[in-house]
Amino acid sequence: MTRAALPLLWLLWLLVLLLWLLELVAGPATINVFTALADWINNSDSVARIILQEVRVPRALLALLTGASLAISGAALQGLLRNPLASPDLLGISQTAALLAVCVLYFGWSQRAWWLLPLAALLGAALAVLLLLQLTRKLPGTHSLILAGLALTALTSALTTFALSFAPNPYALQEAYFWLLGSVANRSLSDVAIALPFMLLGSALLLSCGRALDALSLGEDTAASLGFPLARYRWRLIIGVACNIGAAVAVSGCIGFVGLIVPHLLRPLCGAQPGRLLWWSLPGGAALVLLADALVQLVPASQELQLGVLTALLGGPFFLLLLLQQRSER
Amino acid sequence: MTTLLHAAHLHWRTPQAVRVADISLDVAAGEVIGIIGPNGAGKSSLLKLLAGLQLCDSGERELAGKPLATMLPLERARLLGYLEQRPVLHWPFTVQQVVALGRLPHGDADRASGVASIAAALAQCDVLDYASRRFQQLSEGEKMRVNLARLLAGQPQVLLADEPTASLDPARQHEVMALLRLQAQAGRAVVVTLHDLTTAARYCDRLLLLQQGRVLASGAVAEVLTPALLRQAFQINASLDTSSATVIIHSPPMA
Repeated sequence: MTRAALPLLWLLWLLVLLLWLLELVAGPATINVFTALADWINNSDSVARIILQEVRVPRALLALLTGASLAISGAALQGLLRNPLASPDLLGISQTAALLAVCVLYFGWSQRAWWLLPLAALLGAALAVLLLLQLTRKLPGTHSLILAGLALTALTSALTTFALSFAPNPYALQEAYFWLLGSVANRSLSDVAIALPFMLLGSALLLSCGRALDALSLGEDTAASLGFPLARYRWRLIIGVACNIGAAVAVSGCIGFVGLIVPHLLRPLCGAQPGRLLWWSLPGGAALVLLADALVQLVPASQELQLGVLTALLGGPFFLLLLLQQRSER
Repeated sequence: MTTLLHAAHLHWRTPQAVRVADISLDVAAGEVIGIIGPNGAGKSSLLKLLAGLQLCDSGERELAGKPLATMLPLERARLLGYLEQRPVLHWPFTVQQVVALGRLPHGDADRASGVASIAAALAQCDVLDYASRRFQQLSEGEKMRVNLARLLAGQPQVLLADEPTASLDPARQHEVMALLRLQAQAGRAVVVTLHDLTTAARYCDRLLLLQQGRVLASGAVAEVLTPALLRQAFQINASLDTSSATVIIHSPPMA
């Protein structure tokens, strides 16, 4: 990483810290965070402590972790597929992860072991990346990939709806529906504990592929000639993306467009090198999701707006702009 | 002279065709070897085998005296640079960033040794003036010079270039080939595939003429570019004018 860009990266992490603190303050109940924190440290019971410990901290942590995971996965996918329109949700990776997670939920397997839900989501994500990699070999070109992603999204969404129609009761159906929309609200520290190991492992795997992704910018043959044959890194990248997306989907549903938007917002700041972009996407994604989650808590509505709905509202027009920009560049 | 690249009895067959059949080649430091032949003769396939980018069905390959099969990809990449026929770039990099990719095998693009190599390669290929420009905005000739700079930034001992003069005007062709000759003079081994026979005659020490994946002839320029061999390989009546090192085509392709 060039030294000139480093201070900017540290500033981005500082922004993440500030937004994380904002998340602790935001919310319908007004609490004194410092008093609540003191109560937590002193192990004395208070409403403020319970709100901070059970509601605010898990939510803020999950917003940070989910944002970072989605963004680094988006950046890695764009580098791997060499396609600026690649992202976990547009290509149906998140939806495939959600389908397997829903299956686990409705067969009641998640009660047997805590790790079954993230594992199912992880396998779904890995399966989708693998399928897309095969399809990109047969169908080269940006638009073919997007269409393949669209088909996968439609198929997995239909299967998820099919699985949901077997819901044991309307409440369970509603709960699953809201989970699928994507949110970090009403989560606990155990959700953080479930997601964190997978996200750390996934991010470490992706970060270790930085130089390979840089080399891939020149195509597979030249990358191999530079000492980075794709075959050597393919599985590391697939497992890295699967760990991140699987864990993110397992604890916060399908939060769309973060993986697409963040790398595009960051390229003007840090340059287009995919390897460098991975490091920047971690704080970039965390900052975006923390900000979006703070916003959904500020919007006055009878029921809190879902985080996934807000990111889609922001991401949809952004995606259309990207498509138009690509067309004008031809 | 030290043999830097050694290949013996290389075979590569795909379900569709024999790509390379029983080709042997030794390239010494200071030499420029030209691989010529009609379309589909197996020039690019041979170059990929020599670069270690393709497994061969049989045969042996050695780089700087060490079997290619036992080398790690990064170890090989530090010794051998490969320029593909139509180099691609998927992201909007600046010229400087493209050339810096040449240091990936060494992992030192941000350290003093890497920075010095990148600066030297930029200067050597005369692209220093537009180091901060976007690669995609350059002309074809400029892009090729940048790609060569990327290749040279890695300081490999062996350079393999697949049709580096394709789609370039005569002046740019000369620039590229002169630059490759200079690398040979500096002690590197250079192998290029070429379509233009006059370019091959002027800049190569030895030629390998391929047809349908096999060697039709190999040796010094005058031994390979004979009317009989040119007729057999390209179906043209042509001859080499040795005084100007020019291949003159006397008649259009024969029926």
